[in-house]
Amino acid sequence: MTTVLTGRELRKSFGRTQALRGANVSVSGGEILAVMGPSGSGKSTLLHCLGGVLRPDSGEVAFGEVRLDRLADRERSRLRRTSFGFVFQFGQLVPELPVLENIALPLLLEGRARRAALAEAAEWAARLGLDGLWDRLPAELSGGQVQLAAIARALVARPRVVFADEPTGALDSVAADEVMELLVDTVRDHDAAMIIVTHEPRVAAFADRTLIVRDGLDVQPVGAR
Amino acid sequence: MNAVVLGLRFAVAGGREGLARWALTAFGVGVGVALLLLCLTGQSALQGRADRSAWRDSTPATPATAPDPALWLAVSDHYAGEPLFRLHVAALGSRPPVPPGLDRLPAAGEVAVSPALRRLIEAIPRDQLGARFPGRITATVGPAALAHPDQLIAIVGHTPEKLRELTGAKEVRGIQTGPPGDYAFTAAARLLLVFGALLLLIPVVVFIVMVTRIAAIRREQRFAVMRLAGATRVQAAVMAAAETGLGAVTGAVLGLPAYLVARPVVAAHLTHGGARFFDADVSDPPGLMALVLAGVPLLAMATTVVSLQVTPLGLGARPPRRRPPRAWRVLPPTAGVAGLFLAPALAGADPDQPYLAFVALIMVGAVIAGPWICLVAARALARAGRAAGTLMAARRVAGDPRGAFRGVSGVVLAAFVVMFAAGLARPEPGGDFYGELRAGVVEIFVDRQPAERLAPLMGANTVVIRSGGWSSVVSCAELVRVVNASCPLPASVRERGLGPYATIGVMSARLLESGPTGLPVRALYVTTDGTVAAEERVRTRAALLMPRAIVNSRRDTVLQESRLQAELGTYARLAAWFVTLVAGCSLTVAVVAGLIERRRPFALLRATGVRLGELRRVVLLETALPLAISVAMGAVLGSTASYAVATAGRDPWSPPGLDVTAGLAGSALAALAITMVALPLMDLATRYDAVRFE
Repeated sequence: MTTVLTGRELRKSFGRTQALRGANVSVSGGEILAVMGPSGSGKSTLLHCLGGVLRPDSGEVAFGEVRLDRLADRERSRLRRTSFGFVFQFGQLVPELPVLENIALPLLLEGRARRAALAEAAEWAARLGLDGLWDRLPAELSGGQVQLAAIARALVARPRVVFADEPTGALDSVAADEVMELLVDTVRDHDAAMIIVTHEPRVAAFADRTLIVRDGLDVQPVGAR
Repeated sequence: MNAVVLGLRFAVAGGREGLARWALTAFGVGVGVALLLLCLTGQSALQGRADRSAWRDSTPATPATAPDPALWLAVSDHYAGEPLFRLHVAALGSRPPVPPGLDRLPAAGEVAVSPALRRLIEAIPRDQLGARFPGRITATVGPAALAHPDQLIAIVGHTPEKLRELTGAKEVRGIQTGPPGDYAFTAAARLLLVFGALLLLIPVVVFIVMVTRIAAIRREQRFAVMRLAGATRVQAAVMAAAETGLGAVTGAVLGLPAYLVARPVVAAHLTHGGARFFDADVSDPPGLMALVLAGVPLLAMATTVVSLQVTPLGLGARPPRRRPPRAWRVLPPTAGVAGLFLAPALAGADPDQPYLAFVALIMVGAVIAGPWICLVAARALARAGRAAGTLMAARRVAGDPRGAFRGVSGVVLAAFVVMFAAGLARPEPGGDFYGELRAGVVEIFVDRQPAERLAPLMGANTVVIRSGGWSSVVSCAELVRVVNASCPLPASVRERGLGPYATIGVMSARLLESGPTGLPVRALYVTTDGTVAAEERVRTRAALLMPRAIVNSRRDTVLQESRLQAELGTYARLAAWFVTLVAGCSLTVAVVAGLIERRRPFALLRATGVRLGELRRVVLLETALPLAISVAMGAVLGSTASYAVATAGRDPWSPPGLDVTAGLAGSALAALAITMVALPLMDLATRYDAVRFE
């Protein structure tokens, strides 16, 4: 498998707090990597640096040949739109937009024609079992349905890497398993890579590989599936 | 779907919060547009007055506008304190220059008067006014020649021979169209108007900023989602601008009719120089209106964009809490006050310059110092307060003193301006000041007039001041009959003159032991019983005998001065009320935003037994503390600054009266009362369902 995303010697501080102190990580195409660690260990910061949301203070993030850490905000935004997908725990959907438009958002922001964008979004909504909910506002959905819509939005632009930060943190265990199965299956169908930050072993069990982050440093993988 | 469309979607699909933001933005922008348009009409209104008054300054040097010349003698007169422009003319040919508002120059024996003067002449006995204009009223001076509808103007026609007898008549070949004289609209006045308009606009901008803070967390989270989904900063900014833009455009659309409705009301009721405006004067040129209608919404949108700091991680990625304001912030206003006290020593070529600079420094400094003073006061309150509510409110203000002060920053300026203006106002216009003309005395400058012409004005009631070169010569006993002073005059008065309230005729009086004789008469001072009728009879007699004599009474200066004070006071109070009420609206919005933001913690407190009244007190105290600090700070700085300026000019100073202080306190209380409309929301926002996390 080809490595699609690499982070080397990543360092990131917030004020006097060192969140990352030289973390290394890489993920290959089609691979699912779980990042685990105690609260405050820097796992979310690592995810955000890899996804181009944050710029590391030092170290490098390479997406294929592209050095993310050297890109301007505008270019990183474009990458987030076209090559990356994000699934977070809370507040992922725009409350004012119905489900279908929320899913189509990356395509609309990219400038895709509205009709085409919505048609593609409808395909993803159907694939994730959101039929009949297209016109609903996020406030009218259950927690599991919100996560499914977020997954559909993360995948609608056919990203090469999906970043998931505690994607089931707000769900009960039954709903969490259902969401994870759909997420993993869809990502695998699509041959994308995925990095999941979680503190739940049952979520990490869906991954091919698990990386433990402690005190801002990566620890050797604890096992492979 | 582009970013603009998305922004508009957010504006219309944001539920109750979105609608509230829309409505409040529209309100803020509407008020801003109407206000700015009204303030800017001041430009065209004063310019209109100036343009229409230019003809009065026609001189022999004015370029010819007619084939034949005319003799022209302009005299500044008064009636009951009101300025009256009297023009004596005689045509020197068949086609002389004609002032605007008239079809032809009045012939000998004809008089043209303005409508207001015509009404007065018809209502007042002739020996008090009408007799000053010998001849028959044959024409009305039209609006084209009038600065304002109530202006008193008379144009009296004479034969050339008759007018040549009056020294001072000049041959004029053209009518002046500019630059104007008495009603000159200077660049400084223009700048002052624009400055005033912008100053009033500040609280409106603050209000709009506050409006964007309604449900700010949810809104910023939404933009964070957009950024995470790949929206660039520019796209997010465009969305935010479009969202605000909808409310802003609505506001502009509503602001225009509000301005059109307010225009005639302002023209009819607001006075400048004691005079109303013509309706047509109170209007902005279309280009300027278009600029305001487009500019204020753009300003609102720009404000929103500047205040939008969203990263893909939203609020979680906010920078660490800002450092609290430091004590150095009190230095600028302190330096400004110190500078005012030292200004007399610093005054150079332009004596007003240092004063203006230091007053500006105090005003800017007050806004800079406000957050630090809020912080200190809040910390003190937190230390002294015993109740939990007091502690919560004080800690919140201390936690974000900049935010707490932002909504009331205009109030500190308003309070400063009101107290500064009140402190500089002469304690009692028309009071008996040393060296001032006594009430009822009419002063008539009669330079180089033959004695027989003065005879009808001579009598027991007349004091004669004679000309001794540059100074006036009079005995002390005679002098004190007509000015507020008593004999013997103190040595300091003998050396430096009677002081700032003396008229020119007596300012440089040289005193003799007894009344001087043989010297030419410079001025006559006729004492009357102080009634308008008696004073005006003297004036009318003087005008008939010596049409170009300058005649003064204390009533003239008192009326102008008290009118100026009243107008400045009215403007300052109107501005203060406006600023404070807009600040009240801003505070209300801040209260609502704070309630939405703290819905859950307040609901949890309520669930754990804290009474609703206690929570209301928290919010009220959070609002009242910065408001009270602003008013107190502005009042103290304004009073101190006025004291410094007054004492530097050796003018009397007394603290602003109870009416001014009460008015200021009243406007602050009104602002606080406005915020109370938000308190009923507290019950709704903190009900049990707000503690649920699902």
